[in-house]
Amino acid sequence: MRKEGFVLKSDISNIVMILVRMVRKSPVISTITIIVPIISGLLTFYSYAVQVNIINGVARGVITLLPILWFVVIHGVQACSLSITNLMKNRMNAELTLAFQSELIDIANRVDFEDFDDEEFGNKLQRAKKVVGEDLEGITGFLVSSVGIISGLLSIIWLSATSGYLLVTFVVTIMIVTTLSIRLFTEIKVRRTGRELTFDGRMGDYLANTLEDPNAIREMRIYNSISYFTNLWAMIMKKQHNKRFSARKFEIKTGMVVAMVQTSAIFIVLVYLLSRMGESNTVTVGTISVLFLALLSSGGKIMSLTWPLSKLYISSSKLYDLNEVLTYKNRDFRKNDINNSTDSMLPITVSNVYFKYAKSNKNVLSNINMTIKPGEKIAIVGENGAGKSTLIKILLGQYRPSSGTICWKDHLEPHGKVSVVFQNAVKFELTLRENILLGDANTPSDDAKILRVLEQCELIDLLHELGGLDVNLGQLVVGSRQLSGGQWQKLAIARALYNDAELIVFDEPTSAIDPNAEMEIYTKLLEICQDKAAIFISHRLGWAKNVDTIYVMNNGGIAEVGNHQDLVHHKGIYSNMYALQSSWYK
Amino acid sequence: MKVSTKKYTYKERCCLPDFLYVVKLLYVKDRRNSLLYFITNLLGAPILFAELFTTKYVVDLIQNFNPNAYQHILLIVSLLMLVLYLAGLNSSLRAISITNLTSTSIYELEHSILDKTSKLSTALLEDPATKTKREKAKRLYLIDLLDQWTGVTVQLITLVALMVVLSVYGFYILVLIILGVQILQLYTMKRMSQRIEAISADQTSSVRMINYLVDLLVNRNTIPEVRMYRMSSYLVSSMKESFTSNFKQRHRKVIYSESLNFSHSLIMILLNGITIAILAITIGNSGQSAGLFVLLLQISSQLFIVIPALTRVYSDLAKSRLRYEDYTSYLDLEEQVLRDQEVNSNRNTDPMKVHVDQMYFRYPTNANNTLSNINMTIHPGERIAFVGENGSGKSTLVKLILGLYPATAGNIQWFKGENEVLAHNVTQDTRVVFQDFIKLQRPIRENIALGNMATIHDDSRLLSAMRTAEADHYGVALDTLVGPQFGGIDLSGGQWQRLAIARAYLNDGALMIFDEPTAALDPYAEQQAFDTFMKLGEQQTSIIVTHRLYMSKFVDRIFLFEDGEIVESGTHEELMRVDGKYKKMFNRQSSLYV
Repeated sequence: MRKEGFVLKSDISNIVMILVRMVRKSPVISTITIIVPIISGLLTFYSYAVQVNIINGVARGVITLLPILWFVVIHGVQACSLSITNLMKNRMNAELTLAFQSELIDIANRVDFEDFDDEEFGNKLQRAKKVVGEDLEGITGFLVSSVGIISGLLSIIWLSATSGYLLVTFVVTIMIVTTLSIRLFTEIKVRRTGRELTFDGRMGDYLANTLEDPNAIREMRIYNSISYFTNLWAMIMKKQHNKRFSARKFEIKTGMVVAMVQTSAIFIVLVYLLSRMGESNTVTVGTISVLFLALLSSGGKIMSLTWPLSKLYISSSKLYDLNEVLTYKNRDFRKNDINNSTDSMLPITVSNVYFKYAKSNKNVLSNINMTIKPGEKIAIVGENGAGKSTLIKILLGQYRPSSGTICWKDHLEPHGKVSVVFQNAVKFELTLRENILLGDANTPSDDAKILRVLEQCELIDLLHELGGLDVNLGQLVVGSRQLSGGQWQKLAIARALYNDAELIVFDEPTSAIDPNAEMEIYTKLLEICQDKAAIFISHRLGWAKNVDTIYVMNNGGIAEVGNHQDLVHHKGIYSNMYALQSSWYK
Repeated sequence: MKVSTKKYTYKERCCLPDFLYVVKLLYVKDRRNSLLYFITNLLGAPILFAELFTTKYVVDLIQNFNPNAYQHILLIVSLLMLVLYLAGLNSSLRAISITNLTSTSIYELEHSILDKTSKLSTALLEDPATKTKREKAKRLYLIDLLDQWTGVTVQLITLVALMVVLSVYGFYILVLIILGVQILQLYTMKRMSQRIEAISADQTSSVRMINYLVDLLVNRNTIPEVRMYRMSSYLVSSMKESFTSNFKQRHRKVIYSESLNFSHSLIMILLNGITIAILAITIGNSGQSAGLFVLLLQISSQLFIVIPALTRVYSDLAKSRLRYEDYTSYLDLEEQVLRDQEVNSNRNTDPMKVHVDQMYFRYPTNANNTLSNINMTIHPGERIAFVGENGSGKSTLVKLILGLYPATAGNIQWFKGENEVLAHNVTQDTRVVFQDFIKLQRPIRENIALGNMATIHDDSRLLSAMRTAEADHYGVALDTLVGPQFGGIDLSGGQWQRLAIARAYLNDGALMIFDEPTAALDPYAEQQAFDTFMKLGEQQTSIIVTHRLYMSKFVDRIFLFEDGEIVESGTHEELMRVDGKYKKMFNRQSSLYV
């Protein structure tokens, strides 16, 4: 667990790696986007040179319009390159965002399921996605402006070199480098105390969000605890501000130092040049004036450079997750042909299967023996944590057993068509049609089949209410229609049916449905499944009477197998559970 | 940050214009930095002009360089350096004062909004429009408001001074030209950029769709289903389609706005060139100093900066002022009546009696009544069940019984013994376990003491409450963090519920309410919740809201709700004999086991 905020893995290598990937993905545009600002910045030197001529001209009373013309042309070219850069930047962002997102999606789609269930990977993937969505654009922007300003500063150094004196060049370079380093260091120090990064900052924001939630306020009001939490928030925020304040105090001190450094450097340069004015013809009124003004402006340039540079530095810690996830690309992934082939997969035979996660020593499943025959109706029951969901993952080929074998119609590789109605089935905020056809998205949409399936699931009324298959559901798009929990669940069942699989798995299929309708739903499900094989997972035993085989799971193993009558006679776990649940209604 | 604790409530300054409000607030809360801010701002312009004129002097000296006057030059140059250093110092100090004032103002804004939110009436809290208002109020940055006001003033003064100086040297026509062209430019820019904005009005919804599709493909909650059904290629091609068309639109907008910017810049550059030419020719020919040239050149460059900056700050100021309006209108929302202060010594904890008389209720945002013609009397100490399907009005009635909403018509009265209890005091002795109880991502201690803040440090009471609620099976310390958000222990739904129940054991009550405590829980947690209800109900009036009818067998009276009305009421035996809706519902639910 990350304790103090996010440990800043602020390797510059993160940025570099991402830059390398960026250039590889769209080489031409990246190059243009970087080169153009560099050239534009270096052109500033020529603009200085031209200004020198103009001032000297005025001083001597000899005015030519040529230098002024050049001045206009150079600035025009710079304005043009700025526009070009912005255009290219926009394009580059789009290409890169799409490319990175596609890679992340590809990885998410192929990674072994065990890795996915590891919470850390899931979080990393989320953070990587966030970086691509939110920060990538900023990163290219910072990069471009940093590069532009740096070359502008180089122009100043170049200008000082034209004075012909090494000392001057040296002093100017030292001034720019020191000022930049000090400011950068301070800025980063301050950014580290940013609210989204520190524990206190995030906790404060969390409390503020909680204190705005109507449900939370309602409960806290009843218990009269709002003022405690408001004061807690105030205390945490003050702590957060104080941390930031002490970083800012550091900035004060360094600010004064920086001002000293700058003025001293300018002083030295001026005095030195003045003392050499007589003996050299490269040192003119123009040179000194322009150099002086340029050095003055360098302070502002450096300030505007520290901002993007420090943001780049801080972003590099966010990029750590993206880099890590992208390395998964090179791994070998297990082959899984579930729903990728139409071969028959039943019967499924499970022999002596054990399963444990790679990182742990404890078996989640032990000594599982099971057969699923075509058309068989099975119930898997047991308490939370007994291993029901893990068993399903084994049956679907998502997890590989640590020992023992499982065959899908005599093949050791999982294949064939399966449908699963998950407990928290996804509510696709797309059209009604899409919610169904996503059950078998790789074959062309079959409207007749969709209507058939809607009818089987008693959703025709909904269709008529909505007015068509292409109405949006959920709340994503304006004009979408919201459905009730029960309707979403029926939609998930319809989707499962659309897939026309040999085997359907129902995981707590009535959790969102009114308990008054539970019995009806189960009856209907059994009806719908007809000749398919079906597995029902549930806590509630009421309808288990109607299935062919019941597997009772306990602590990762199968404790009892049989049909309802057998198990009740057996007077074991199932019998007790059933007696308890039915006693409530006696 | 030494934040002054002086009181300065909103009410005291409600009618002040926005500028004075911010100034007064910051002055009271952080005097030192406010003064620093104003001083550094005032000094800005004079220091600028000192810089300009000293530079002129130095350049003149360089032009008329006389090796004998070396010492004189050194003196003037040192003077210039001093001015420069002061300028640097001034801007550093100004920046520092701003960052400090920013912290203070952000804190004050957030605190005032948080405070106000906690006092809003229930009706307003549940209205989604209030959330929108609050989000708008939060967009205000008080320090920006102040800085923009200051900026406008300072820029205006600087502008006038620059124009005066330029005119004094005889270039008033130049000034007028620059001013005129700039104003014309800004006006046309504004018109054109409004048109460009209109091009991409509908971008946000397509961006939301793209992000949604990407999330479906990457989120661990949706991936199991997406992968199992092999939805990936369909969703990806949908996403790419949206993305490409979105990009095309956006790129078009960028091209237009960049062309606009470029032509604007080009005109400015030409104008700049002409200015330089005019200055160079006039000054060069008249044999005046290079220093004067440099001075006037710098002044005219400043004009090119100050005028657009002034317009920008002005429009930002207009935006900030609108946001200030949003902020004040949020702070003006109606508050609920405060509960009377609790007097601990003679706490009357007689069980509550509730009397509802011909009550109707309609939510402010709905057209129809949620509850109609409710008549009931709940006697002290009675155990009551409200049953019925989702949406029948049970939970709404609970809120009214808690005094959270006023009835639209009819009457509710509460009594403890002989004394009547007023609506806003009902929650003083009430304990509620809501369906969506709070899961605080904080130490266990706070999760439990939420029920009675006075016990926050009373470990023995907290632990005993936990034990009674059977929430201490995992044997962790009270100060352990729970919840995944900050790296605490992850709890299951049932474990969270037991913590919420533990809250109820922390104080005595007159009325206890359990609202749908069984949704989405496994049957064993359900039964535990019900056991708690029965146990707690021994000393007080208690109401359970549920749609699992096995619970209603054990209560004193059941009320069956349908479409906002009470259709049947009585004990379980009575209702089964009546052979009506209740009996039908009960049989349907028990048919699973018969």
